[in-house]
Amino acid sequence: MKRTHLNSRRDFMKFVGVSSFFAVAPSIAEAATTPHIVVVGGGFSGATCAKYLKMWGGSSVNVTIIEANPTYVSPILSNLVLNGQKTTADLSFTYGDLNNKYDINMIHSTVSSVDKINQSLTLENGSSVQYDKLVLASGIDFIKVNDYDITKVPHAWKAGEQTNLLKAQIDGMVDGDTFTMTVPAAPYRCPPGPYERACVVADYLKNTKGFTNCKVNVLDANANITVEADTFGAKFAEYGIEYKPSTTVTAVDDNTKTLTYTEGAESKTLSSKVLNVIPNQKAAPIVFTAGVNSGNWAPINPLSYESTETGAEGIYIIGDSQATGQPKAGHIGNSEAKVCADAILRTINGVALYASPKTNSACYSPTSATEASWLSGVFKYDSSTQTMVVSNLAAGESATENYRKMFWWSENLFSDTFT
Amino acid sequence: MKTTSWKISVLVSALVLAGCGGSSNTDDVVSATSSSIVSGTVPGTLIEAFCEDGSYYKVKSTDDNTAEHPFEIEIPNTVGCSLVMTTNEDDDANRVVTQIGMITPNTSGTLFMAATDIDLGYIPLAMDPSNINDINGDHVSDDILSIQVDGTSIVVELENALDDDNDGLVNIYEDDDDDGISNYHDDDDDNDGLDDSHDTDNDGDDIEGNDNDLDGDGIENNHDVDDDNDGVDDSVDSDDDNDGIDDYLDSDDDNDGIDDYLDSDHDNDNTTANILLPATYTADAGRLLGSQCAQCHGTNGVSTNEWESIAGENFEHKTYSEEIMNAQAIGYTEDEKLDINNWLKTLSSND
Repeated sequence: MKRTHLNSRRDFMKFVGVSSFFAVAPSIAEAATTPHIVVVGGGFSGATCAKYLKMWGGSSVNVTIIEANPTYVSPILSNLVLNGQKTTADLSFTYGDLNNKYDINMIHSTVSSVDKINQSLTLENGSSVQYDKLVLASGIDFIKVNDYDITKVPHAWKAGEQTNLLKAQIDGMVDGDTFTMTVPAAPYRCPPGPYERACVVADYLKNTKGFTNCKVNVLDANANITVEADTFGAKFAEYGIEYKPSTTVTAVDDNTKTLTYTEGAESKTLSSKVLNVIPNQKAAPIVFTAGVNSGNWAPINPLSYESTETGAEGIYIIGDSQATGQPKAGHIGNSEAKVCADAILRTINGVALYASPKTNSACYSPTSATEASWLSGVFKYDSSTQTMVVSNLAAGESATENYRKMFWWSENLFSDTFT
Repeated sequence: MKTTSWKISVLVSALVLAGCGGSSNTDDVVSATSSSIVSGTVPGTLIEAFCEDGSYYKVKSTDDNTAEHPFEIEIPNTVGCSLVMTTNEDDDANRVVTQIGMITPNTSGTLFMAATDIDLGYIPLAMDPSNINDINGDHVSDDILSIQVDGTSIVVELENALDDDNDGLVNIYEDDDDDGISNYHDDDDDNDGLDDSHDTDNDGDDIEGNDNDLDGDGIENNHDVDDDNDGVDDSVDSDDDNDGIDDYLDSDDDNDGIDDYLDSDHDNDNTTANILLPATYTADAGRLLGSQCAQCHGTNGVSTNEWESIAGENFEHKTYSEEIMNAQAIGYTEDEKLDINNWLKTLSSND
């Protein structure tokens, strides 16, 4: 059965109507219907999970993505929007291929509540969607230190409008101005990302704009550069970036663009022409709504990504929200999604879970308009601790040849996720 | 080999008649390779081949101090191609452009598939513009020089997709604005006074900017394997549309006017066909493990770019030239590599 795009209200109600029938008569539904897997979130992990569920499960499963935005803007490569080498349009993806080629239903809405007992979601418009399996792939949420206006102090850590706001602010700088950014406490989305951004912005100001008197400050909540410390350390020195480790942001003033932070026992302030605060992070709101969090993140079984919280059977969490020690980033979100999709299909078909899944992470980070570095990791399941552990980690230093390869990597990653 | 000259207008009626005759162009041919070598001898000449898939090939004949310079040009044998030969190609005043036609015992035309290597023999091209019929003086002969060849080694197509007005001459060498300079050599194709390089509608087709036939060969970019006719297939051309922006920084690689992010086939390799979804799920450990290669090598091992496709290949125990690949490979056990290999073998690079 070909399901069409579920944007129009009439089609949408038809879908809801059918789903409601399952709830009323579950015994009939189990015998006669195709399992419905609902994926909340259409980023790297959610889109990949939906695609691979259909690619491997085909017509034996119904798959729906619930995603608020009709267009997804990739945070991967988005630091190149800041230096003008990419636009957010270049990094935008729609869901046409997933809908048409893979027969995935799209609902552009937000989930307002999760009824785990009746396996039902309520959307912001009041309608409900029934699920047999629920995959939460909604990324991250921010923990701001105080209420401030993010259009004045952008995080630009979810790509799109925020990225363009920060770009506009940087382009408003004149020689002698200061750019200050903060690095959140780990774990946070895209470990190399903040350091990459500092390099790209410093290079842009110095070498593209020709501003020799601009200053770039990096205030890091962590004790050291968290990844690729040699590469980024060397680039920071080359660009004259002022790096302050072990700093904790305590207040942000969006009008004066002033940060209050502690360094050691001391409280200090720093004002800047452009202030880019990347707040500390936690799982997406839906994880808390569904009650599948433990603290800030969602604990899961790495063999399936199914929640290990009581009463959360059939709910899976992939990507940045899940609580394993794997990095939070698009590439490995895509990787986790395949393990999850396969596990869901195995479970539906009564096949034992694959006992030793592998995931991987790879990323190229631009360090200037012509150079990039890379970081690569393979993760394996350790049955004694029931966790994912590092199988191999490696890094490649900043080089011009990597700059080009960065696009080959990202093109195939984008394509594997959205087309 | 016998050569004949036909008026371009005469050829049109010949083609139409042949077309009514039916299937004279369907000689059964089987070829082992995807290209054939067409050779012959000519006066000092530029030989160009324009093919139906938009690919473009050119060679210059070799000056061996005789009047008959040898040439060899390798062209595809799975799509029709059209040959154009130019003498005195670097001399604007004395250049002579000649469209080549093919005559077999059954048919004739200017678009052909060379099933095997063929030797056209000596081709008596004109060397002097005063020796050709050229009413508008654009140095492009109004006649087609047709060469008689063995019908079993060649398939002549009755319709030439590269020839919109069906006069036998490929579009590129027409003189659309009738200014006595063929489009190919005309810096202002539409005579609007703007140099083509600064003219947003350089071929006067009223399509500004994102023109779906960049090279004006009559093959729309989305069916053209060489959008800019630079002789480099788009799949390996780092700047498909020759707009000076490398594809990896170009938001519209093929200049089809559809931004890559909205273009499901941004490299125009025509691989957007709907995939076949299975009816049931079958567990496959090798597929699960191997799917983790797709982030870098493409879904089912088919890369969308210069990075290697791995469909049908072996995940070998070796040192890779890419250090990042070694960093990944070391993370997999021998058993896992075997599983992955068994799955990779089931994939075809055309998936």
